[in-house]
Amino acid sequence: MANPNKKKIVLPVAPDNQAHGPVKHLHSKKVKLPYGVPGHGLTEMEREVSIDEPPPLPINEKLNVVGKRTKRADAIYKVTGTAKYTSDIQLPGMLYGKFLRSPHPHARIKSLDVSAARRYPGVHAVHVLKMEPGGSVERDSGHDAPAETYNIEELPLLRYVGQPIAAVAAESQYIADEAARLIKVEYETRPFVLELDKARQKGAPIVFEKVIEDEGNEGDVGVTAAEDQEGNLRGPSTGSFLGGPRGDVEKAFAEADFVLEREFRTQVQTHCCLETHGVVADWQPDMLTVYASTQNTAGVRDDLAELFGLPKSKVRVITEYMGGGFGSKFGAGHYGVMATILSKKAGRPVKLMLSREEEHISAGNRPNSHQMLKMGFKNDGKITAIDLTSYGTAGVGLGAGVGRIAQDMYECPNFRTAQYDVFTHAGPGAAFRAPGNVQGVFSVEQMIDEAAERLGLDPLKYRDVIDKHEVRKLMRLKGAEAFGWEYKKPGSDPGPIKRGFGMAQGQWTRFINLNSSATVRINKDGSVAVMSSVQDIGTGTKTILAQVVAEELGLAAEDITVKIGDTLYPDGPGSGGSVTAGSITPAVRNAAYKAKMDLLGQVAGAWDVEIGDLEMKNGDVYSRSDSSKKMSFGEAVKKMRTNQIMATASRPDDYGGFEIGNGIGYGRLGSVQFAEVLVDTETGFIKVERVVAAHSCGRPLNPMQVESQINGGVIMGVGYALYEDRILDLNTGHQINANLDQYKLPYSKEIPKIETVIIEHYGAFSSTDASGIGEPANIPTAGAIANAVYNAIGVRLYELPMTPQKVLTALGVS
Amino acid sequence: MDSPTRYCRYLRGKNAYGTLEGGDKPFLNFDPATTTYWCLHTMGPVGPDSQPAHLTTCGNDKRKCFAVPKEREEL
Repeated sequence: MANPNKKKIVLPVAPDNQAHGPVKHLHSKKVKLPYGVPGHGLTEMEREVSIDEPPPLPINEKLNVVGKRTKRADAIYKVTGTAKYTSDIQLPGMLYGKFLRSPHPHARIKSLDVSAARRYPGVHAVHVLKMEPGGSVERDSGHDAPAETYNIEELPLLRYVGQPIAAVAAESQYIADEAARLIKVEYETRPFVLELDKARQKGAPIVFEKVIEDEGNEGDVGVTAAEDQEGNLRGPSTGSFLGGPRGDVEKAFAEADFVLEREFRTQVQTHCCLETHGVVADWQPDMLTVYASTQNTAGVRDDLAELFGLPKSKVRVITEYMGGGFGSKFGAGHYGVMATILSKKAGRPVKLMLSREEEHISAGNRPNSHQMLKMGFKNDGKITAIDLTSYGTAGVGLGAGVGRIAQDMYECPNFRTAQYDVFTHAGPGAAFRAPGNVQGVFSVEQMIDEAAERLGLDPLKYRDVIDKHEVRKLMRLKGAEAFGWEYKKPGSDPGPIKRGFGMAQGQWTRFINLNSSATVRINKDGSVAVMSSVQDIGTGTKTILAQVVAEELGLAAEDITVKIGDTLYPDGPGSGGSVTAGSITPAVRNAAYKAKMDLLGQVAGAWDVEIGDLEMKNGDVYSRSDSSKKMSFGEAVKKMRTNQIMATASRPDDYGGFEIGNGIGYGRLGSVQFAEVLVDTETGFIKVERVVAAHSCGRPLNPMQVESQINGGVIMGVGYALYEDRILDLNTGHQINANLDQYKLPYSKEIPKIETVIIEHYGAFSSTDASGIGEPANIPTAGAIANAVYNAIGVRLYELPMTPQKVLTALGVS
Repeated sequence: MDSPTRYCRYLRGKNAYGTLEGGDKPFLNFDPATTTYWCLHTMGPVGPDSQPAHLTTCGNDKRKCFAVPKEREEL
């Protein structure tokens, strides 16, 4: 086992080249912005901002478009089926791709013959992956070339079922599927290990023989990432950007009034986006065009430009509509690179969309975890020490840590963690909606409930004692009111079907991506468009951008044309980490403001008034001081000296700067959820009846869409708590539930009644003051359900998913 | 002169902050424990030499697949 004592300590510092504190501007102004929560001591915060920033927006109730329930700009296209997703794209002469994937969890390829596939009628290109620098780049040309001879040493060692080996492109999906089956491969199988606990044992089959000495390079924010590897065990990671170990944990445990120590386990959750991962790649001499189901159009472009040696201007990535992404659709992906190679070889566009089975086995997953959590408490409730050790497997990948909940959510002067990755012969993990924090809440929030019980306190009131987050305190208050919270003695219901109430809370960092730019164009015909490469992954980004522009120009949201998801436009952020709204909407508002000032300047010239005297509202342009000077927006644009006004802006630093680096904002996004469950103690079935979800995302730009995001987060949390679980056949390494039948997601009957409470919270961070909601909506759900299950049956479940079998086992009736 | 970025230009990562790129961009490795890494060449979590893609190993120019970052190449 690796020795944690020899690890370097993670440094909580940022290097000199990162911004800190208030930002200085050559030309600045002081402005006062709303600060706090309306109805709960709302005040103002003075900030020094760039002279170019638009005036502060007042709170939502004083606005016309922003903050209002606004129907999705693209709803009609989605419900009528006219919206074109990547999987709907059809191009002239388009071919279809299909992968050949490893059928073994650990094997060496002894021989490989693609000649039959290459000869199969309708096949236009075949490509074999090779493990050498440049190995993914074309080496032969055209399907008429003689069959290649492969040096088996350059073929990849196979380490999981589903690992790509080769792919074909053909005139139909059927032909491609058949041709992929015709690729002949001889395998030399090897011992493998699939289970987390067994992979840690001495003598377990090794996934990676360690041949590379780690250098302990530091990340650019000063996080020391030096880790050790012994057998399949790698790590530990002992901290994050929030710091490393602190205080004297052992002393604090010794001085605690009581100590709780428990083990928790969470499962592997696979990505189940309704639109599978995939692209259509069209390699042309002057331009590579890729239609991608991606969360990051600019990232896909950058990957392909780098890999194929193309200038970024010669790669165009388009994502007009996107059928869901939860962290795994970043980068070009193995399917994106392969489709591009096949298109280049065939000279025709190639569509390569993963099947549902491929999605489960190769597109990424949330790693499992085995957490050993120990916490010390004083009798007044104070947490004195936290010690968290975790093991998790991201298969052949890394990143199985359990997040920052234990480190950061509650005040505790003594903290340490050791989070280990364990390699197994299984598909690689990927970022998944609040990486680590979902697992972390399941353990920490159950232990907080246990402590409350030990202290004889209502768990809700106990959190008021130990949680210093002011907005979350308000969430508890408002959420409890909506839920009708009343603490009930665990397991106190008579009869076999028992009702339980539970709550849990979560935390997420405010991340900002400064690579967020947009252009606003006002045309002389009165039409207005906003453009950015930012993509709408189904969350409603198009709608909030239209709202922000409309608010600034005094128009209605439906007056704004939103053209996004195309790298021909200014770079937008990737949509992950709940960064999108907080990153792109200030850029959009600032661009709209610049365009507006340009237009007003021209109108002011025509009227011979000062620009500052002019206002745009309710579709009109008018003078505040002279009521005779008023015209419609349509008339005003006719005074433009050119056919269009165009302005581009990028996301400035947060007002007041960043807490860490160029992107970690001050303030945490809290969340609190309450769950009501029914547990049948004879069958073990759990039914989540109701969830009340209290959240804040800064200024809610469109409450209807915020609710929609929260609903999705809760539903995903219910699936994680009760149903979803990747099951691998221990004899073959194959996932036996690689479908949406046996890999169970919540269907309509399993979805609880969801009630949302949105706290409108102003932090004076930007020209829109918006933050994200995607991650926070999902973080506390499983913890809240687990606490409710305990409240129902009086027995605690420490392992996800909480299946009927586990309930019966816990009750001692199985 | 600022010291050049040390990471292979083909290293990629993803964490809560977003996509991390090797080579000519800062590698904002905010949270190593929950960051996933991959190699652009293999589009998987291993490099062309069949070893893991990771921040601590892909800055190692002893690795045979190490590719010099663009800005360093120009020096």
